Amino acid sequence: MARMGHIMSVLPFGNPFGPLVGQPLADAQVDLTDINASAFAACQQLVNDVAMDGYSASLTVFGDSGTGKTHLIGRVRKWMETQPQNLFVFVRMETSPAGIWRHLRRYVASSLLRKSSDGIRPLDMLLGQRKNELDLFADRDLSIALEHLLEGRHVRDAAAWLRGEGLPEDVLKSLFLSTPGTDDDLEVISRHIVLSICQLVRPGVVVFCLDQIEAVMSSSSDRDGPHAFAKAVSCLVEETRSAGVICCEQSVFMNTMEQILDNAAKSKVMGRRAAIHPLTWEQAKRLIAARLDTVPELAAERKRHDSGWPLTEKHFQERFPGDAAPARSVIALCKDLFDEWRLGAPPVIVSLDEALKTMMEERFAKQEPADTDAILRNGVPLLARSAGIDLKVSQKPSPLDFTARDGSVAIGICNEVNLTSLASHLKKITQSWTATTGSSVILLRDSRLPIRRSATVTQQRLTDIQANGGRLVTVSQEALEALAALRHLLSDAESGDLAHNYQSVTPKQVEQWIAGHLPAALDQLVSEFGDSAANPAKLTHAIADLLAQRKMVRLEDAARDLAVTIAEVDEAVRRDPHQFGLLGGSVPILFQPVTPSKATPTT
Amino acid sequence: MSSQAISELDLRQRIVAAVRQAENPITVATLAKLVKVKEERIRTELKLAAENHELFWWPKYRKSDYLWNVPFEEKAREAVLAAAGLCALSKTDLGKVSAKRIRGISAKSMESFVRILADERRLRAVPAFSGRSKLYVIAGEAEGFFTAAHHFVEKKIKQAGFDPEAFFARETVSKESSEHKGHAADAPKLILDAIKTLEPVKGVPVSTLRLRNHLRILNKQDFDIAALELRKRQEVYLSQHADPHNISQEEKDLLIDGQDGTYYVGIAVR
Repeated sequence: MARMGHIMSVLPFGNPFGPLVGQPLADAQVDLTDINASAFAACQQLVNDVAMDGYSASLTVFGDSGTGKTHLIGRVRKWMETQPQNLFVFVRMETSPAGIWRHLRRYVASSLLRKSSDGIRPLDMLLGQRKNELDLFADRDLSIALEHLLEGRHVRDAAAWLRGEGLPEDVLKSLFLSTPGTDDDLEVISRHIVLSICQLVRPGVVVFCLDQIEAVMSSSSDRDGPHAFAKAVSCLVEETRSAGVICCEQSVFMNTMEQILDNAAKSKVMGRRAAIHPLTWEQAKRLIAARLDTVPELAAERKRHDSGWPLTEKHFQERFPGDAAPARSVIALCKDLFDEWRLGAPPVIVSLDEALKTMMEERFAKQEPADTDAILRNGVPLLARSAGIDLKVSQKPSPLDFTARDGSVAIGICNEVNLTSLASHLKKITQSWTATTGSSVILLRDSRLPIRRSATVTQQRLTDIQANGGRLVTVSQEALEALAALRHLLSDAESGDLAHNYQSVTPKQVEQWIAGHLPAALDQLVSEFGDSAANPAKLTHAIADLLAQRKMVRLEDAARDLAVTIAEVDEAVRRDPHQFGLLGGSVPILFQPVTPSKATPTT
Repeated sequence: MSSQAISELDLRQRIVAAVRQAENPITVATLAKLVKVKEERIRTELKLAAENHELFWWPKYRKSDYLWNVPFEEKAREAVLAAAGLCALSKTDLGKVSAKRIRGISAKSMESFVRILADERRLRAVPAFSGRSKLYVIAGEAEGFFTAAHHFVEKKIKQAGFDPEAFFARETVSKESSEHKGHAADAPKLILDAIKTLEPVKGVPVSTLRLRNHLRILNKQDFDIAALELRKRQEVYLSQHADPHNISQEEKDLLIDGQDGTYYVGIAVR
């Protein structure tokens, strides 16, 4: 490969082939508009039709993983910038079926409040002139919150309310907003807010770009997720007159949707269709050249060579069987080839294990208490699965969120900031729990949300639950951030957005990796879901039985075979050093010690 | 806020809740009974709620005003699509059949929705079995057309005094026995034609599930070989399943077997 050592040593320029996943909200993405032009035209047609006809509609864009669905959304966003009368809402569907509307509300609010490069919020553009009409269109709380935001009063708290975050009672009072009622369902309220905002934006169009739809599935066989998703899209189409919903789906999802949706739902959700295709060799060459053209340091030298310089065509042409290859695989290869040229050495090949560790670290981000509810709702099923615990999502109207171990353990997320709401939630849990005999209750709460001593009713209800054997488990920020990163990693795998050595990393591979690499903070959390804390003797017997059969076993394997966590086995073993032995090191080994009296004497 | 204002707000919320719970459009008189308020008093609130799009007025029926939580136009469209999905019909018949699904609407009014849906390309006009008239089917769906074709052939056989059951049974047997070789040879063309029939937008993939249902005359092996052949000829794109190791054999059987461990879920014309 041709190489310019002097350029490399003098100019530390970046690699024009990263990142490998589309960044729809970033301005600096290279975009050749003639590639997948028909899919983009279908998106434009959808928005124009909704604006002209006054009826909401949806469009499903199909494509294999890595072909550029997310990139297409970036193109739509750029186009939408020229239409200040419309609202662009980009949503990664990394949520659970029970939280879809809260998720959508959060993204709609963020889109209204996100400042453009000119420092203007869409909220001001769309609703600034209609302040006097807010009372007529929106419900009381929504119109008050929007008024605050438009007038620049209580911006932080009003924005938090709009996003659906819980607020303390005194803050709600100072904003003149009502306190949530005891029977309020946050999903129903959030749906109402989203639909009302769509109504307010009329005659403009709210363009929902829903990406990574596969992430709404809790497992590959899950049908509840796709069903709930289709129901939400149907509702947006049916109950508003200004929503243009663009759903980006992997083609593999097509069979699932066709199997679970009835004709009416299919015609609403998948009535209009478009497709993203792999690149042809000719398109790939132009895309590679366009990416290389973004490196100004190479411009002079590139004029003297062919359009692919400093890369050599023969290196990637073989990747085009049948003149078609997904854009991401082409870009990933070019990225490595460019680094090889730039650094003078081939890229180091890392194992999948190492690659996933790096990917996980890249997904770590600071999480606020407002995110905790969504993180736990989306992450707890994954966590349970990685520990081999059978977890079920509770059906409405249960105040508890999950049940584990055949219903013997019930888990409730109690993350209310407003203590009146928390007290009301605890009351419902007590009523529901006492009705179900024989199960233990675990309440999960962000450790950054302490419960004041002066909140006597809440404290009393907690004490009552604990007196009956229930447990309040406070979840640390570290555990929440790790859980969010794991969920993000799995969502990316489900949507085909994870690749290693030019191959997609499957959700199964990620789940297997998670099971063996659970961060300590999460291992501790998952151990709380088990019933071993209540039955330590049962676990001790189970470990003894296992060792009677196998004498020596890896700690990790023992945990898997006994369907408990590593931390639980570790704790049980340490509790009883006479009965069990444990060899430390990178792979801890559990063994059955031989007592001196039984040892064969040496001569 | 005055007590009068609060009670009006409360009344409006009760009205909206009652309308949302109704399974069908309801009259103002019924609504008044439900919220236990006189008809005259709720009319003002209904007007405000309708302006706020919390509920929608429906066309008058037998001199009564109807309203519901879904706009009439949307329900009308839904009714037309549902009727066309069951059986391909002429515009007049589609108007008649779909009108039966919605109380208080004439067949003539429903015909205008057939026109709108055809303009939006959600309905497609196809030649009828006799004369120059057209039948309407849901774009991309063949089932309604097949049902209509079945009815038509059945009717003609009956008119001639024969038993339609014998005809359809013979068709099935002949498909299974004598035509297999011919179908296998024509399989690539049959697949291309089926994609074009099922998906009017060029380049949009059609799931293997729909294609197999449509092309029951092709067995799995012939279907899979033909699909791979089409890809080799660069006439189609095949959509690859990202994680075939994680699905059951039953699910795999619905896909196209790439013969090298890969499986494909859909086909799109290039």
